[in-house]
Amino acid sequence: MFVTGVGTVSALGVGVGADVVEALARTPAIGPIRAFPTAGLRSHLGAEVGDLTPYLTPEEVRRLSRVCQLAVVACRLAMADAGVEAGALPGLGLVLGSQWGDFRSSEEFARGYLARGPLGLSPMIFPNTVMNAMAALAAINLGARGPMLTVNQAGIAGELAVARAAGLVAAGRAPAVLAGGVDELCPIVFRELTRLGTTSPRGAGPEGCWPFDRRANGTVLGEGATTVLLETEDSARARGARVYADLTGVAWGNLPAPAHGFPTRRRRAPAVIRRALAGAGREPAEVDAVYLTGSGDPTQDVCELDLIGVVFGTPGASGPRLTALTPLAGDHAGLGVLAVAGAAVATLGGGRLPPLPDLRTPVRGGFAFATNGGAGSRSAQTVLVHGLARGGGHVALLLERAGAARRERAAA
Amino acid sequence: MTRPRVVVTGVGVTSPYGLGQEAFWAGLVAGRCVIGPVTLFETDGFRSRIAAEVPPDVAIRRASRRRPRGDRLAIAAADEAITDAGLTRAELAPAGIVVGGIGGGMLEVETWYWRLQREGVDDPARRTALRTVLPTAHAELLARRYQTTGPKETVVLACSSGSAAIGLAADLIETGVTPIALAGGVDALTRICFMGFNALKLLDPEPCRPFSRDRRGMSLGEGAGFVVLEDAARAAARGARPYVELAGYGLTTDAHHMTAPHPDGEGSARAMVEALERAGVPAAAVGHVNAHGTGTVQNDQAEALAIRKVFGPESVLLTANKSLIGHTMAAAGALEAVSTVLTLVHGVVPPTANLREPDPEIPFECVAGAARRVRLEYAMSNSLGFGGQNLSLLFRRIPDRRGTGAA
Repeated sequence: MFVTGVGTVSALGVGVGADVVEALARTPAIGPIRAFPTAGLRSHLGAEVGDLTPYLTPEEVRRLSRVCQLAVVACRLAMADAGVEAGALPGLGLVLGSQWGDFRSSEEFARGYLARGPLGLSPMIFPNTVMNAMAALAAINLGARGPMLTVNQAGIAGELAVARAAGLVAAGRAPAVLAGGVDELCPIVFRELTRLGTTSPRGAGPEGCWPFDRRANGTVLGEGATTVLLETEDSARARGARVYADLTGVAWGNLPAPAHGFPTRRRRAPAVIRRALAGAGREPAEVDAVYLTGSGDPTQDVCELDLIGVVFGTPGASGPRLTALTPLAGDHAGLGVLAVAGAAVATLGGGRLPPLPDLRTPVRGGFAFATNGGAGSRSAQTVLVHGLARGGGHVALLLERAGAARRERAAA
Repeated sequence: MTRPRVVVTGVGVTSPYGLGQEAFWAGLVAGRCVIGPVTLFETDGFRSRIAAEVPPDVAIRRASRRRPRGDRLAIAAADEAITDAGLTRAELAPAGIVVGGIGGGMLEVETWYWRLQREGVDDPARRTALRTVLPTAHAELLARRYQTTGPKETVVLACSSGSAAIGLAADLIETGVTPIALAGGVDALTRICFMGFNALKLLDPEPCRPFSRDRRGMSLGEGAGFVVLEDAARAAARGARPYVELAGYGLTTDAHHMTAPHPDGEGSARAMVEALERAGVPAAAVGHVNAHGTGTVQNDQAEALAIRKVFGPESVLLTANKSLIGHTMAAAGALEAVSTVLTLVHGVVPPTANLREPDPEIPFECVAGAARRVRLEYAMSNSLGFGGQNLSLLFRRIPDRRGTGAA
């Protein structure tokens, strides 16, 4: 199954596949939140998306909620990147993952009632309160008439959307599926997550995003949407599509864990990673790089490294190089899909692995963290995108250079 | 490679009739409409002030009083489905859990937020409701409760969420991802949903009247429905007695309008055709359609056109469960799937309530007044959701299998 298009909107920038390499080479886009006041809260940092109006029609600027705008722009860019016009791919599917959906609209809708009673309710806002609004608007925009899903999941909604989209293709339900993740920085969500102690700084120490570092003390939220077009080999070949990568291994499952927590060490079984590798016919030693969730939550970071360590061992520099995009663009549902795009375009296509920009003292030894901008890294043939969420949600996506995987299959 | 057949080996229900599939089926067959005044929250000033609530003794069990209402509804139905399937903990361990949800724990968050905004009281105990506000909270809870390791998914397809969860779970089995899955949908009534449909003027002030000439809108409800799906070979190997086979399903998108179905039912018709084609079943083999049948003018008209396109005029018997238990949102597709399963098992089509004068524009016989005994081989359950989300599940009767009253 091929990745043939990329559209991305994040604090790193707005663009298509060709822009991903440059975007991931930029300095971290995390900074003080400007869109709403954070005075009185413990957290003040976020990774905000800039002005989207150049990518929208005046009507879309006026009528679409912000998170719907993010989704529509990313979907449109991915289709343009793939060279597909709206309605041109019969049976096109669409799967969007989101953690928070349009929570801003839910609050706005409720405020209307609390201020003016039933007369204060806006029938225009209400449809946005249902989480499939982003996908539905994007489907209308693209003329996507195949299966459409919205996947809700904390932490790994984007990765799960890619896995689910691959599942729809594998089940023969669509020849091509646009898969993505989308979330926005929303004042009430930011405030309450901060008060619940999810975001950095938890406890003492400065605020920041340092996954896998001893300084890690919580996540920093971001926003954006990234989508990738997945196609069967037949569909891509029939239309002469450019291929970024081959998605050869897909697996997702659950690690039994406490509510909002992570599995105990005894239950950190990486069956999902192994299934993805087995699905692709690959051995752990063949994986050159891993994009991790790397939320910056200390427990989560350690749990994720434990899972990686069980599969790949802890051989130090000879192991796969590990990275995460959270320090660059903040934690949001689009980030896992940006990792897929980064793996496909930047790492497999461009030989670049975005580094963990400020990793000083890793919480675990024996891993080859990417800290130098990819210099000296092997020419990657196989990259794993790994997702781990609170509650035990677990996803593994294996991407390979399209030509290499195909040649090997033909030889076999 | 031959794909595995998928069978239903357990069902569980929490509905406005109470706890369990027996109460559900008895209520449906009796044609008992349980749509009444809303008691969960204030409704002053709204055009419609009714809905079908789950009875308090079911929804508020002492042992789980602190859980969000939606979670309580889900647990009761899921527990029943698993017990009904006769699964051991080990047999259940690899299961996928696929849940259709919309409201999540929103009812409890609303309670916190209303008080915060109206009285300025920020109750820290209620504020923690935000941890379970997302639709995914139900799947998280169930996976934790049953300690499963298979795929854990929450899908939001508006009013098609519950049926989509069942279809997608079947895909997991057909493609070899997992041999067993717990799938369904759940939603508790929420203020936002109630206010929203009122704002859209889509709620009937009286109990809804699907397919009736004088229909004026829908009625809301709440509940949860779950099924256990299994690879048929695995089910047989462990001695399970399946209810029915899930022969196929179709999932399509209108790509037309956010809140209105395509006026000629084009997307819904494609979903039905897809379900038939994937099952390799001719339309003429289907004798019954459990319609989405909300009672809104647009929905019923578009759905009838779609059914006519696929099955021809006067070819299938319709029923609309929503006339009895309201539109239970993310649970609707799952509850109606369970109703369709039991219809095949018992050979009885439950009636549509409040259907005094059928709409002459709708060229089908809608079972009204009393339940109809009929022998069926295949039956379909339709769902249509906001955003143009169409889902059709096609079930096949398994001769001489489970059930008590097969015709």
